[in-house]
Amino acid sequence: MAPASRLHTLLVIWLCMVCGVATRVAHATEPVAEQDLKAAYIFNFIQFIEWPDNGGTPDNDVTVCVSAFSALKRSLNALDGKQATRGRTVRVRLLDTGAIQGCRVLVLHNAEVEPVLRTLRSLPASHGVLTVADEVTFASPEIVIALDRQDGRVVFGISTDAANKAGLTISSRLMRLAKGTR
Amino acid sequence: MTAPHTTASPAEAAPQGTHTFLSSRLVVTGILAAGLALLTVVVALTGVDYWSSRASMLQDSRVEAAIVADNISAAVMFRDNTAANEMLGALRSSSMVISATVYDEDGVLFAHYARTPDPGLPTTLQAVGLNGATERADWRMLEIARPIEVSAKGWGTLYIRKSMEALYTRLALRFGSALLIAACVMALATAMVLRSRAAVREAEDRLHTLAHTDAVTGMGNRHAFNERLSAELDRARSMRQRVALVYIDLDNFKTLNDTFGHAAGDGLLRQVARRLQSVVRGTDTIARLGGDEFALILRLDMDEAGLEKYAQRIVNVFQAAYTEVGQQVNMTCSAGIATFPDDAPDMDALVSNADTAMYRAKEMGKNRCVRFDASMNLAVVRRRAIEQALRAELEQGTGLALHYQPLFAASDRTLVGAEALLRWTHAELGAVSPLEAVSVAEDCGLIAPLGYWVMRTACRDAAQWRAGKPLRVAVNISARQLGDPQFLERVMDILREEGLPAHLLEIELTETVLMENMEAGAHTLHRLSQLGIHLAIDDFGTGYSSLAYLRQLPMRRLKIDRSFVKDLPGQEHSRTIVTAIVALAHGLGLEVTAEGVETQEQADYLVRQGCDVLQGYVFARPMPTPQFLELQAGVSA
Repeated sequence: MAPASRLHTLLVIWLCMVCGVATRVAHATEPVAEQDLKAAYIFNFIQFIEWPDNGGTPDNDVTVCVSAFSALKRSLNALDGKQATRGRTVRVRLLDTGAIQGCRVLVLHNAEVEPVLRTLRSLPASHGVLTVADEVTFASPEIVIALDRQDGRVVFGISTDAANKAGLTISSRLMRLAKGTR
Repeated sequence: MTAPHTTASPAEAAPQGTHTFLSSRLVVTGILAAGLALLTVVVALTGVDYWSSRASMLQDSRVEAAIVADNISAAVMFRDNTAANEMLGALRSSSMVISATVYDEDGVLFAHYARTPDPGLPTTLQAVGLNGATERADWRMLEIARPIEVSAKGWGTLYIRKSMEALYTRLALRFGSALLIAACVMALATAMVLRSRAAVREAEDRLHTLAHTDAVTGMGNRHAFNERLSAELDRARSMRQRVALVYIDLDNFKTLNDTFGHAAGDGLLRQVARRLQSVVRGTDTIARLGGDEFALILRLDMDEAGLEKYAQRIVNVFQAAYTEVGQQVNMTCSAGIATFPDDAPDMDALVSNADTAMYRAKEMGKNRCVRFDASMNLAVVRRRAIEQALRAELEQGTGLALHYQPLFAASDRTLVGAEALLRWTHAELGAVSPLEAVSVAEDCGLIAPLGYWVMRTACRDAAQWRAGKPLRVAVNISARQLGDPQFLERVMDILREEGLPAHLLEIELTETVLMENMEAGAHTLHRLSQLGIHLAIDDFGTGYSSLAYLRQLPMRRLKIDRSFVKDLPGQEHSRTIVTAIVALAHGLGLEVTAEGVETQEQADYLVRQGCDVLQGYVFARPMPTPQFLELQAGVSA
């Protein structure tokens, strides 16, 4: 599919420009491009998700806590300080499984899924933490969004149960795009 | 259901036709104008509809584009062109959408939907050519471009093309149905207008017919006659032709009407109308003017002899007897003819002259047709002057006077009385003969006042007469006076007021007067006679001379008419008559007076025959009162 691949390339170029990392584009390899794309997706998710009012961090910041083992760590760090919807500023920091308070988005890697989920279970309902699995391989139904690759494209799945439990409202526009709502 | 309209003529039809043509054109113009107005309204409404539909379509399209752009934003953001194509595909349900495309931030085609495969779909935003405008609408197509935004950040552009076809289809449908409704309304209105016009015209025609038709005979009435005569005169004027007007009046129709009843009278009028119609030509107009009067308008294309013959034909119509209610009725007519422009220059004069000629025919004894003559008008003028003068004299005048012609006894030639005779000298008219004055007075209803004036004056004068012995005054009375129900009373009043004994008044009546008042007259005469008034028959031998009434009525005297005396004693015929009258009178116990005795031979002869009283120029002419008083003095002296 020639048009599709061309589009893909264009999208990549566009994403690099958005992230302000155009200088790296020239050196980008395929995995790097995928990680950037996933990071961009995570940033975009923020725009389509409503957090409950009792969120931990001050209103104007959306703190993204990324697992130290995640391949997306670098790409996400590049998004630190970026303005998201409604005047929010995206803050990116490394995930400390013992202290997830203050994190609105958790980008999880396989290694840290279990302890994090345990901690989350101990929190009251509608805790307002969006959990994102950077790969579908370890995806648990308790994780809200799982990123994946299909036919060379980045796709994602959404667990509505988990979202409800976390008290998150996910835009129907985003729901439509999810491949396999769990 | 139109009544018979015998006077329908080209002259009437022409203006009516023009009127009809004009009014029907007016109706057509009115309907056309209404139709045009309705069409304008429909077009204007359609125009308004177009603009409002277009505006609402634009508005709807903007909303639609906004919704689609919002919905598709996530798909664009996440580069999911499958989902984007699916979403655009949802526009399939909006039939007006030709195509919908999404261009990404760089203006490159990202997703599209086309109702029908379109190879010319612009692949870049530049190719679309909107140049930053949000919409472009022409008569064929509406184009809307809408930025796809998430959190105030543009991710691409939605571009929708919509066809205006549906709009036009809907407009055409509305226009068509509005036109259809308008046409139906127009047809209905036209039908109603035409129907009401037809009703109005029918009513007008009916009114016209009623106004112009005589109800009894079905011919034209006076109104129709006037219109037609005016038209015929106009025509004659412009074509330099002649028109004759014939006035026809049935003789004694009133008597017939009174005798047989009005229904029979109407039947007779219908028969007369039918007969008259059968003798006139197609171009002639016949109308009933009312009562027993008919009028005939002729286009005069014949000479005087022809007209004469034509008139005779009309009079001859009446020769055959009419049969009405099972009775044979003989009827005659008097007709007068006047022509235009010979006799009269205009309509009024023509009508008046024909009328004059007709009255002359009556005067001449009826049952004839008289051609108008200019002298008739002079006579009419004189009669009118006499009438006015007489009226003035009777009210307060000194022109009227009585002269007295002495009557002498045949035996000793002594004065026995006088006959009162009317004399009238008018300041302007000169001496008016009593015959003419009485004739006018009879025509205009002045005869009764005149008669009583004569009687009162005669009685007043007679009361003054002193000639040693009483003198009797003779007064003539007319038929009209004798018919007056109060005649007896009035005579008694006059006698009492003037102080004249009844036996000194002698009333003279002609045979004609008696015949015309046979019933009422007989009673009055008996009463007069009982009161002592003497009654005499004047002009005996010239009228009906019915011997029966001589026996029945209380007569005292016969007066031999002067025409028999005139040829005495030479002519044997007159001698025989005079002898017979004297014998008859004496046989019935009546006295005999001879009038118009002009020679001594006549007087001698009449004395020999046994006449009782003589009257004539040989003894004395009629004289005014002073002279008569002198005569009395001379006689008594």
